[in-house]
Amino acid sequence: MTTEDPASALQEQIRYAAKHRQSLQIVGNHSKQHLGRHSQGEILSSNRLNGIVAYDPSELVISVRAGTAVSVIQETLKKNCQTLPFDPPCFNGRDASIGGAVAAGLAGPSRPWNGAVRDSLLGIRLVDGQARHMRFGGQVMKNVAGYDISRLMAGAWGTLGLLTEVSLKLLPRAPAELTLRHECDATQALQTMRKLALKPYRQSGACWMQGQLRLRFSAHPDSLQQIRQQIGGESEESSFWSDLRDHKLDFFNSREPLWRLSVRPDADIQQQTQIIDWAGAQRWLISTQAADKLRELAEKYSGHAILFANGDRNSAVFQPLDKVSARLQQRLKHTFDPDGIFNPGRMYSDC
Amino acid sequence: MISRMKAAAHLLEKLIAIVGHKHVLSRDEELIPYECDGLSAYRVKPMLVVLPADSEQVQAVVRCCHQYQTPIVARGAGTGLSGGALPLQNGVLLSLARLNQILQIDVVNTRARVQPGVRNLAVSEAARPHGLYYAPDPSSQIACSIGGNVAENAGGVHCLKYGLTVNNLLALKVITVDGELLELGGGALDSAGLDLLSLMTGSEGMLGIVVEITLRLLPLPQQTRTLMASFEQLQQAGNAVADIIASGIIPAGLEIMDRLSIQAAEDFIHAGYPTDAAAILLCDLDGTAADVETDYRQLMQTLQNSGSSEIRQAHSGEERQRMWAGRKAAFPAVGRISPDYYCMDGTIPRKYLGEILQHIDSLSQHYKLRVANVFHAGDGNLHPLILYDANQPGELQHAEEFGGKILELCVRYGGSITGEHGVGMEKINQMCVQFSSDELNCFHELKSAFDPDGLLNPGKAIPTLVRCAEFGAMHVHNGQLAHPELERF
Repeated sequence: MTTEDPASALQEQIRYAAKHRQSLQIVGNHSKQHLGRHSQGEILSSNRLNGIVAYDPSELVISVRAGTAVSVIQETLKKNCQTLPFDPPCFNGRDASIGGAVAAGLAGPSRPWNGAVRDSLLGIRLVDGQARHMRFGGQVMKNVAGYDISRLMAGAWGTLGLLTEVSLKLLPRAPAELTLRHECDATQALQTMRKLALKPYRQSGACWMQGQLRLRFSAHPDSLQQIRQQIGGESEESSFWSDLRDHKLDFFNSREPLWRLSVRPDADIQQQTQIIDWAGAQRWLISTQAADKLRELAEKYSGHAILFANGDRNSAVFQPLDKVSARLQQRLKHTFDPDGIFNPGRMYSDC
Repeated sequence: MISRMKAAAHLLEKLIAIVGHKHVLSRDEELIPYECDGLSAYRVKPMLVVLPADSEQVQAVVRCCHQYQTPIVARGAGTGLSGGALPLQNGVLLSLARLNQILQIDVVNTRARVQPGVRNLAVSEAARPHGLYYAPDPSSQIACSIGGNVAENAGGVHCLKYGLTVNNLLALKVITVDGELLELGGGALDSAGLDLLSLMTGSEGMLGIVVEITLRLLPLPQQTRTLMASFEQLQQAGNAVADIIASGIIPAGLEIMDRLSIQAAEDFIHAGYPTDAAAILLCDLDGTAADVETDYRQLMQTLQNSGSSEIRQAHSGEERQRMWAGRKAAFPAVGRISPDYYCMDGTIPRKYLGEILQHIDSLSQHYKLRVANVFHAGDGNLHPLILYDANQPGELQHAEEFGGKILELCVRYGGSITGEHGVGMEKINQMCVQFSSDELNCFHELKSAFDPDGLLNPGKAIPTLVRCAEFGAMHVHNGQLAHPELERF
């Protein structure tokens, strides 16, 4: 580590904040400020933590500083026919930082087949609430030395510390893509999705909205040709999948509360305004129904509901935890952030 | 002393009341089979062995131990290779072997709900009639339990393409140290709050006792094709692996065996391996027939350019199985050519394979102990098997020292001391090399968040800083020693 390491300035800022019990708001590229609960504090910005630390395509791993833009990473990977498996969203027409993408733990439409952020996350460097700069995991595919603190950071919304570097497992970019469109109702769509889950196709999307089921496959053109013959439907070339991922479809234009229900794929949820994504496992609803009702609905299908955007950002945005989980979560928060300085209240009001 | 004996007698009485006389073992002859796991060089006789029948009994046993402040070591099938299930003299060994039911195969949602004592292979066998299987396949899959797989985050041949245990889990039910039921994950692909499911996976029984697991099942591939390529130099095989990955193919399995392991496996299994080759590369392609065909064409081209002296394809399921049988039996095969062997489990960035193997070779000459190398080449996981004879005074110590050196090499090249076997008792000293004191402290603090009194598998996996000081290990990060300007001897 050299003395110019920009992380050491941030470490200093954290040490100071901890000493004075001052709240910090971790910010990358400001692309997800409308998500999670409202949180206040002095800005702790990762944008000086920039650049690729190590990338060797034949290792199928990239290590990058946390403030690096997702688009920069994707461009580099594209040149080597590789990609980030979890295909992170970029909202509001802004680029996301990779640190923010990992902290939010959000994945694109290929999630059921290519995995979540945590599945790609091999290692991290983190500054915790005691200003300790630590490294967990590594740049290798397999590593079971010590507790898996890396994966704990995926979806922790920066409440446990500042990510300074992440190492991610990559995926070769498929030589071709095919989207097939079918007209059907939600029930039929779910049936088709479940049937396809039993087939070993290289699938990368299954989404239903407004009477149309779209299925995406990523493979060699010969394989796609065969899939087209076996499944049928209209083939489509459009920006549908990236628009879905980045919430650029008209559906997401509403100012009404946008709910995300993460549920068992076969969940029979009949709602007027909904998108069924992730082959049934993720549902987007525009709804003014009471939070409790939607949470009950998600729980019925062994899942959970998030007030994803709009609505009251000071309310319980994430599904409340049961007593045992909540207690453990508080203890973990205290372990990494004893003075409670990082993104206070961003996930839950009490941690 | 008397009060401690009294407390132990009370504990015994209470445990018998929970699980019944038959399922609490306390006599020497009953305890001895439990004194070690798959790492038989380490043995400790537990105070008691308790075999609960279901999760309620586990919960009651844990509560009881918590009340008496008695440490608990959980054990699945006892096939672990790092001494993670090594008992404690003053502790209860909690065997989960009787929790062996597959509770549900949910075909519609492609998942299985199982108890921890279910064998890994049994899940795939139960799922097969529905066209599904469970992807992680540690070599011990005939015997090892899913609970143990979760505790160790087990891998296997398939994990380059399909991930480790952690990538194939949907939910866990865990009994916390104070006997509460903690439910992690659920029926969805993610859950609210921090990702404790990932944290629990691979935690070696130190954060909680897993009593139920929901696994993701995958559709069986339409076709699997197996190829074997021989090389005159080990380095060529290593380069071929990098070329295959860079060409955009992710094989379902990609394994290298070196000359000594080829010869041992061939003598044992008669798999048809070329015994004059310096290395063989075994490669599985799977998917739909069209996927396999296109991957195959690409793979053949890569292998032909890589200097392979012979490429053989399995033409029948039988031949395929024979090719793999040699690899899967590599450990016992090596066991036939040496009285004892010590299996290491380091991981490295693949590009350093050649260099590391050269280092291992010179260490082998230094310690005068032979080494057979098998290698999950796709994901950089080395399994050097150090051959020794425990009856020769000092050889075990030599083998252990040699093994420790290999692991330190892995860390120096940016890898890890363990890819899939866990730290357990075996690699605890090398943890001092891989992690700084801040990081080790952080692990201890995390453990305290779950287990403030240190009752769950205490003393394993994470060394105390005092131990590291005694071991005299130097923390190596990114291939850089602290204070590189100083000379080291």
